[in-house]
Amino acid sequence: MGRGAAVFASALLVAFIAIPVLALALRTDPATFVRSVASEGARTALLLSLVTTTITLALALFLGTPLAHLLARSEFAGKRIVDAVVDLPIVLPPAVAGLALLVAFGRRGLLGPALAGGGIQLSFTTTAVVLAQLFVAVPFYIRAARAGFSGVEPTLEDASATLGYGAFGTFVRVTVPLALPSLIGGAVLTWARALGEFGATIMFAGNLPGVSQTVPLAVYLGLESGDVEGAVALSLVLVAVSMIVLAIVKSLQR
Amino acid sequence: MPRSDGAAFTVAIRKTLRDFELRVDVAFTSGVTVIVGPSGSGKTMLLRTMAGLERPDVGHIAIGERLVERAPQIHVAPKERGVGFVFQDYALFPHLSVTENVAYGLCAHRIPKPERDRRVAAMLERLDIAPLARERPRKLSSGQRQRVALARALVIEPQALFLDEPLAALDVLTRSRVRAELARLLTGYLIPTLLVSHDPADAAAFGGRVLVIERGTVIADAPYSSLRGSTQTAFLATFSEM
Amino acid sequence: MAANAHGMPRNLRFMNVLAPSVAAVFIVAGSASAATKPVTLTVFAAASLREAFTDVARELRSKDATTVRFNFGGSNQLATQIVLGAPADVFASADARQMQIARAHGALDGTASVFAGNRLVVVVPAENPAHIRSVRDLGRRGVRLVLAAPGVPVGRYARAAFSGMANEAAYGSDFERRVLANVISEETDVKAVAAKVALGEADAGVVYATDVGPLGSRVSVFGLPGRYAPVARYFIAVVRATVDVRAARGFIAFVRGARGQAILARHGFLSAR
Repeated sequence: MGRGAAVFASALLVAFIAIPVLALALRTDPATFVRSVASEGARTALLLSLVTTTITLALALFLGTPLAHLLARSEFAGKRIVDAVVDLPIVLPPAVAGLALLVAFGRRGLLGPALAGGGIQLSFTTTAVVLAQLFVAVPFYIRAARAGFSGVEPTLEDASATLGYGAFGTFVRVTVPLALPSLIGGAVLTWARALGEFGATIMFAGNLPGVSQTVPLAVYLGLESGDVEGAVALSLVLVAVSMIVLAIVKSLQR
Repeated sequence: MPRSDGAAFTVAIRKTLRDFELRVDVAFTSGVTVIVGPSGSGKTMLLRTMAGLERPDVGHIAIGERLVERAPQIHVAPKERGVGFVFQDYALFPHLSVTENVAYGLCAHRIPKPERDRRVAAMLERLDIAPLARERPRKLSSGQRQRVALARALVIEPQALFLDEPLAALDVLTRSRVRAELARLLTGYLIPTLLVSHDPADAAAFGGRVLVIERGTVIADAPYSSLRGSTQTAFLATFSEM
Repeated sequence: MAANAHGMPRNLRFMNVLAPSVAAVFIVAGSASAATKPVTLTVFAAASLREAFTDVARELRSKDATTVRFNFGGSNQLATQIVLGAPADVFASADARQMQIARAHGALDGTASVFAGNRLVVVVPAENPAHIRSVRDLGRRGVRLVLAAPGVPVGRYARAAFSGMANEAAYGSDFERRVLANVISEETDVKAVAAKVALGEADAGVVYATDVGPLGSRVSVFGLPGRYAPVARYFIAVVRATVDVRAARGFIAFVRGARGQAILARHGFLSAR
């Protein structure tokens, strides 16, 4: 391909991605934006998104870190299966994820009766929002953390062991600090994916302001009910957050 | 001052490796023993097993009177064994300074900070690396890294000192100089000191007891001087060529 | 963000104004479908029309080689899409309000006409986990109720019904508040409400009478008291962006004609007149 053609194709593609984002910004003005974002509906959705994604991230770190370390450091029967299972949500359509969660944890789902026996009802709750987010987002952290842990020389952990630290002390003092850029990058991507989660949430958690209507659902429902300004304003908030996330990830890769 | 408790390290283990079985039944007393053998003969595995980083299939390991391994029931973790280990690539912590690297084991053993600082400073002084105290490992030469690794292993006052191919990372010119320095330094420590090497020249430099391992089996265990002239295997024959 | 639920008076007025104009449109459109060229029409229709309109399309295809593609959804969603320039030929809305929104944005060609009516019902899963025996039970604590979002016609109609019932001593003045407190999800269209009930995830939902048939034996049905249950009125209009006004009018004429009305009646819709 000639250089001119390559430049043209590149410019076309970059414009294709940049123009819609720009169009969002041009669709509003500062006064409308502030009014829309400050509206009660928008604030409720933003707060819910903040709370749920924070819990999702905490769960992802707490549960994903040991698994990522296991995958990076140990050989065990069925490791390839575990590996594939953990990656599955990345390629699964979110609507499928939502349906899967519903038929697993829903009232009539596989585990529904057992959960109901314990007085637990998951579907259509804020907990369901968190579970939907965790399902689709945690693989991004596990992948990044696993790569980070794999990059730490095993002899460094051996050295720490001979110098007097046990597995946990070694993990905290050697493994985590050396894998930190990967861990942070994975955490940020996971948080961003959780923030953007829509399909699985609306299927498994439903849509109710203050309970399950996160920002992406508010964007969709806002547009549906003709509130284009509100939808655009919330979209711009998500665009801004996404850009910050990208900046963080890029700076860590350097 | 170098310590001189001189507890003997006794090992009688078997461990199946990919191509052969490691079978060792030997005791080490104070002083330097050079464990020499071709690459892949099981030398490093022997050191790692003695340090507790690997588990033998069967057998036992004792440091003095203290049983640290009786496979498979008893396995004392590496952190409890008190073995100073200098790894082949030195395994310095890249995110810590020279001082922090050397202080690492003292932190693990919860030595109070004043004593810790004192012992680290003394050790850096002793190994001539005090000026490097604030550097990160990646700024150091191979020889300097080796000293830091040695300082880190010795500062915890180990019951035994293991060095895995400590000279392999050095270029030919510096190797003979560092080898001589190391020999001088190690003779001051009256603890079992095991130095693994694939190079018979190292056995010559340290001059004491030599353990020759081939395919997991000890084929010779004698003072260096008496190994010269042995032609039992091709590897042993190389001792005579020096 | 979501449209206000208390808009009934204005919409009733709108329908009154609209009704006389319906006949005229009907006459003009009635004779317009003589074209022989195969045409493809895109119809944006309220989700509740799915089964009936699918039958309409089947018959149209066999009759005069007109292929109809559908975009079914909440009427509010469809109105927004049309206002934002979606390439539709015909818009069929489950209420007057969404039609009016499309018209206010200049997205319609000509006037809208009423073509069907529908009743609201309460559906519960066949096993009835919350033991609902009457509409009054919807206000009981802990009932998991699913409604369409307030902007969706069926969601608006349902809220209006509960609001009306609250004026009745038999239900109590706090009936509306208690019912709305039981809402666990606001769905995007009536079919989503029906699905959540059929799946057993909700204890009850408010849908149209015509949505019950497709659910079969998976649900049981309660009627809403006639006095308070508003009759849903369906409106249909040509979209200004249409590429084939004649074909679009032809579709509307068919729906409003004897065959179309028969199909709608078979699916449980009320007559437009």
